[in-house]
Amino acid sequence: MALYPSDIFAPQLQLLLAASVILSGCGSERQRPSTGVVAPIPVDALVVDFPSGEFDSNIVETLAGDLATVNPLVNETLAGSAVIGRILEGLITLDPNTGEVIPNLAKSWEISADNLQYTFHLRRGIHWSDGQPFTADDVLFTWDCFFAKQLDVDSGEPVLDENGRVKYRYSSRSTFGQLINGQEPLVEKLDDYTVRFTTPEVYAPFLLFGGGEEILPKHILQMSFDDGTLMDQWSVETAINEPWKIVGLNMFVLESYRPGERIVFAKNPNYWKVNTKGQRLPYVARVITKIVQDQNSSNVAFAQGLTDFESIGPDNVAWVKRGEERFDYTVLDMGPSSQTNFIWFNLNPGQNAEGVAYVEPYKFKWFSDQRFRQAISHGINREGIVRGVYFNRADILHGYVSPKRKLWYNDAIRKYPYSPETSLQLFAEMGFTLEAGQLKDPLGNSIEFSLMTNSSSGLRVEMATVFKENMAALGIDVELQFLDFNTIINKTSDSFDYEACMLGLGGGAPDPYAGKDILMSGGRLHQWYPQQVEPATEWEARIDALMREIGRHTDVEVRKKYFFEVQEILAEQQPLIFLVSPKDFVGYRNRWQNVDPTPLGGVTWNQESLWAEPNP
Amino acid sequence: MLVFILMSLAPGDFLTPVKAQRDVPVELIQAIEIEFGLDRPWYVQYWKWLGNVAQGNLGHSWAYKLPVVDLIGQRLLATLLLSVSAFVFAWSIAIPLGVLAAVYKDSIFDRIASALAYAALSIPEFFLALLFVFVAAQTGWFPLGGATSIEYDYLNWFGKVGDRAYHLILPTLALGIGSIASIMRIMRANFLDTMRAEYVTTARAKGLSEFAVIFKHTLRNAINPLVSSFGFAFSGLLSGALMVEIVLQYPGIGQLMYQSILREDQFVVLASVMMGCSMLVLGNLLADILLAWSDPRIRLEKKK
Amino acid sequence: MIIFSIFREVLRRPLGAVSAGVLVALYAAAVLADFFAPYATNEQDLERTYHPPTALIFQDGGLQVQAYELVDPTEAKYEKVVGQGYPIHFFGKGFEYRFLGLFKTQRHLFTIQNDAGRVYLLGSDSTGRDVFSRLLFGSRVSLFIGLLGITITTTLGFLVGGLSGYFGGRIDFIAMRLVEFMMAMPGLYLLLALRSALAPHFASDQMFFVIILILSLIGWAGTARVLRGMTLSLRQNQYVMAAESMGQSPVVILRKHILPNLVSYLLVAATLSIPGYILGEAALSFLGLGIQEPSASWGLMLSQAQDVKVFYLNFWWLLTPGFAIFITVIAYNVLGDVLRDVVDPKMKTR
Repeated sequence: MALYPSDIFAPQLQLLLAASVILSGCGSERQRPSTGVVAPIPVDALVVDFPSGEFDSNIVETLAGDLATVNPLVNETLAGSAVIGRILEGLITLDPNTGEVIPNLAKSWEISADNLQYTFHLRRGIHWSDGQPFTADDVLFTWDCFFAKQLDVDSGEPVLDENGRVKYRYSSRSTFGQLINGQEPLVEKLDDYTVRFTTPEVYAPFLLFGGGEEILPKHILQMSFDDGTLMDQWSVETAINEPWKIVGLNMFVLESYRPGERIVFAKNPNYWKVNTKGQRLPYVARVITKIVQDQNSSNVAFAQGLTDFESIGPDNVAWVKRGEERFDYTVLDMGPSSQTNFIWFNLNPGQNAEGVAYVEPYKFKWFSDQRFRQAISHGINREGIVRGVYFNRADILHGYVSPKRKLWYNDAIRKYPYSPETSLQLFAEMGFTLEAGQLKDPLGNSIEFSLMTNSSSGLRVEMATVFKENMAALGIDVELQFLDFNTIINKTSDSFDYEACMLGLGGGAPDPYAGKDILMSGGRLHQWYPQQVEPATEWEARIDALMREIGRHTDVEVRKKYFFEVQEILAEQQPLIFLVSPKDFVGYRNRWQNVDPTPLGGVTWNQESLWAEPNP
Repeated sequence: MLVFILMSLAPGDFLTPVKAQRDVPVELIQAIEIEFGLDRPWYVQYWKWLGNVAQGNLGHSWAYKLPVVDLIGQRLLATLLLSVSAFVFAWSIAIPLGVLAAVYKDSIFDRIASALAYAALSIPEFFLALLFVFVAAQTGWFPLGGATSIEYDYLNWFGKVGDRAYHLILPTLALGIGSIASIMRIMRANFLDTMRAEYVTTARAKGLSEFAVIFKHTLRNAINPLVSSFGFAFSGLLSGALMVEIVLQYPGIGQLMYQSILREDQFVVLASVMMGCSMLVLGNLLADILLAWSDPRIRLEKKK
Repeated sequence: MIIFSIFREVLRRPLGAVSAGVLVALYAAAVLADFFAPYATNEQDLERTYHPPTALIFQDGGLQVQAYELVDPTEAKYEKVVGQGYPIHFFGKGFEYRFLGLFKTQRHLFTIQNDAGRVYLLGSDSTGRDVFSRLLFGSRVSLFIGLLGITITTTLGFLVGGLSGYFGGRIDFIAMRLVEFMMAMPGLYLLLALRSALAPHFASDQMFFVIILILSLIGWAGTARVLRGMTLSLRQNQYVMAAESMGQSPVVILRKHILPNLVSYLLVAATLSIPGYILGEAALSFLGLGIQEPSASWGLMLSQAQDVKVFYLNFWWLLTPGFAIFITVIAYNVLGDVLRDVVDPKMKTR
């Protein structure tokens, strides 16, 4: 008998096989403790004005992507936000029609005359999903989590980093997001149901940003806050084994989670909204979320009548619509979406650990010339992309703000229609010449660069292919690299080992200041050269100054003026070369009542009022 | 071990993607570095990995934030299920077909079967899977992928089995068809060979019924060479399963490995390749056992 | 030489002739791809994405291509414009290329002069590129990878198999264990692992060669084993023994006596393993791990066809590369079988 090289593995093999068989069988959740208290309906419960309906139906939906954590202080993924967003909520929310700030957990608020103090009045009688009362203590606790400082063990003084800035114990997106010009707002409890915030300077978007923070339960997380394990809480482990520990105020709680397969939410028995009959909402008993690989699979599931609500990709609308009759659902056009796609060049002049410049100097010279970027922008056939790649269901993006944001959209910015002649003119101005179809710079280098984008988005891959051809027509050789999304993030925020990149952003609050991470030179998401200590160029410094003004003033007209100038500068300089923005399409199964889709709110903004005949 | 060498070839410290994920506490990273000896040369790493494997610790998956063992368990079963069902499917059709083709040699049936076999052998597996997805999408008769439906957990036991079976139809077909072809041809050839062998003529002369002749004697001997290629057939199945899993989005080990490679989730890749190889070895082992059992000659030799 | 007589025999059999003919046609098309293709690999046309194959009509006394108009851009629906067509020019002018790498020319087998229309024999893909042209250019990758690959495999296989069969003993033992180990690994798993480990070290242009390298590294084991068996049996031949006793060096013996006899088997083995390469490259490119966009390769073209909307909106022409692979593989398999019958009647499948 032949000698099998793996004979040496045999004993371990058996162990492994046995282990894997046993483990896979252990899918059952651990015994949960008896459910918490169901408190009475709050005094200040929000009465929702929709026709009342029946209880106990289930929502079935899909989620593209998987959870990495359920801790909002840690989470960085869209999928995570979607899940956390079902469980937690904030003091304010946005009106689905106008986009303005409206009360949520806070029933009202006052802003002082000097615009520095915000006093929120919380609804009385609200209880967490486990029955404990919700009070101002929870709000204070949440903000404590953001701004708790690392204290020196001996002196009790805050620890400072090399730049003299305080170090935070639990730094998260919220920590940096809520700093106003580097300073923390003051949070005070006036009484059990009143909280007052004082901002260090006038900060227009505070109501939106500060009020929108998801409130964390003090009675659950206080202990871990004290002993330093706060960031370890509400991990995937917890979600799988002890989901009842994830306590929130929103309409659902986590019932079970199987990684890679499904997430099940159950109704929050203590939710604080009621219908006109005084019955506690939501009507839905469960939300069953199946985890799928990508949006395409998600669309497919919806198109076969398997799920209830879906956001449909523009290239899929055509065939999904065909199933409307057969599977009894409706597809709606919600107009322009907030999703963007853009290309940028690596403008980081630094060096890596080995002293090698991130971008080769001669290429850096091209990239940092504004005319180069403008020429490239003129050389992109955006109409072609809209027509060919997006089946005409997208809008050309001329600048940073999409036409959807009517209030802030500056139409007078410089635009870049498809014009290879203009591109060549600009290149000529830079001293470039065309030799046998190949563009060269004055030193004789052939103009070429590599562009990376994420392989998981079929539409981006197609756009990249079009881009390459557009550039080839200009005599520029572009090498395409299709990488995994995480690898890309790594390269653009850590190793800076790339030349050009194509990505996009989605969502985002409607306030112009929401883009501060992207637009300000010190921002984490300032893609082309993030986290600058000092603005690298004049125009970036100007944008920084403008953004500060935008934060400082509350008068809409004043803010608009500044923001318009920001858009003009961005259009002139093209640090981000915008491409197209896909339109928004949603679908829902017709069995659902009270569906009221709006462009700003989507189709499930009023989830608590959605009801259907209970599933058989 | 080969696998490990390959992994080491991958540039850079493979914890880099982990460090990029901010929620993994620094202490954990350091602990893992020590545990897996990443600060030591590669042969030390390999030794430590082996040691860990022996204790059932296959490391952590970075994409899923779970110990690899948990992740692999479910997937392994899924792939096994698929391979076994394809195997059963293929063999149960191929053997009778092969026998029939041999018995009715040179008839229309034989010619058509051979031609079909040829065709089936030449189709790339993933293309076949792709065609099936096409058919499924157009007709809506079959699920487009996955192993279970959304409502899986709410079905009773019977429903669950049925659901899994329903989802297995297309992948099994895609995998099995190729196997059918090759097995059938070999079966037919072997059968013809043995039919002409002496002991068959002897048996006929002894007056045994045609039926008995075919089944008792010829079949047993014809199968032997086939069984010995069992191992390689299994290997082929596993490779084929990988492509089918990916196209039909069936969550097995093949698909896991593919996704992990894309995400540079090192531990998972290592583990899945190892699993794949192990399953193969198992297959070969089984084959040898079967061979020994079915062929008395070998047993006799051993006794001597 | 033996090879010629073998080929003559093959061509005498109908199956052999047909399969050989098919392959010759395929390779000719690959080499002369520029001539046969009306469009370059990367010529996009964003106005005509997912265009169905253009019908051919007889009009105005000549062969013409039907004109279409885009009726519904949201669904990529095109409809025939009745009565309108574009004349086809045979040996007309198209994009410039080097014929057989020798001289520049602009002549193609067929083109249409009119820029307002397109001749899409097999439709267009997601960015409006002609599928037929890409199929032709893609065939270069798929067809030649096989040829290049087997040279490596057979060389390796011969070296290892032949040497171990000839020398026996410890070399044989080690070599055979190695071979078994290689054969024990599930091919595709190894393929992926190798590819992911080796890829970062090479630029994407060199990917072509990397793939060949990987595929041959996996494939040589089987050939080695077979060749070893052959060598073993050949070794017992009288004239080999005579040569040995005469004191001829092993290298000479290998070259003069064993190799010529192995040639025929080598030929068979090679022909039958080419499909493995073609399928391997297709699989890799399909997974996005082989030839990358925007080059053309059959596997890569098929990966585009994996998009859900292709199925639902019935863009069936995107699946044609699969059939191309199928035909090539079948042709090789049939040819290989016929070759085997010719070379060794004992191994014949009756």
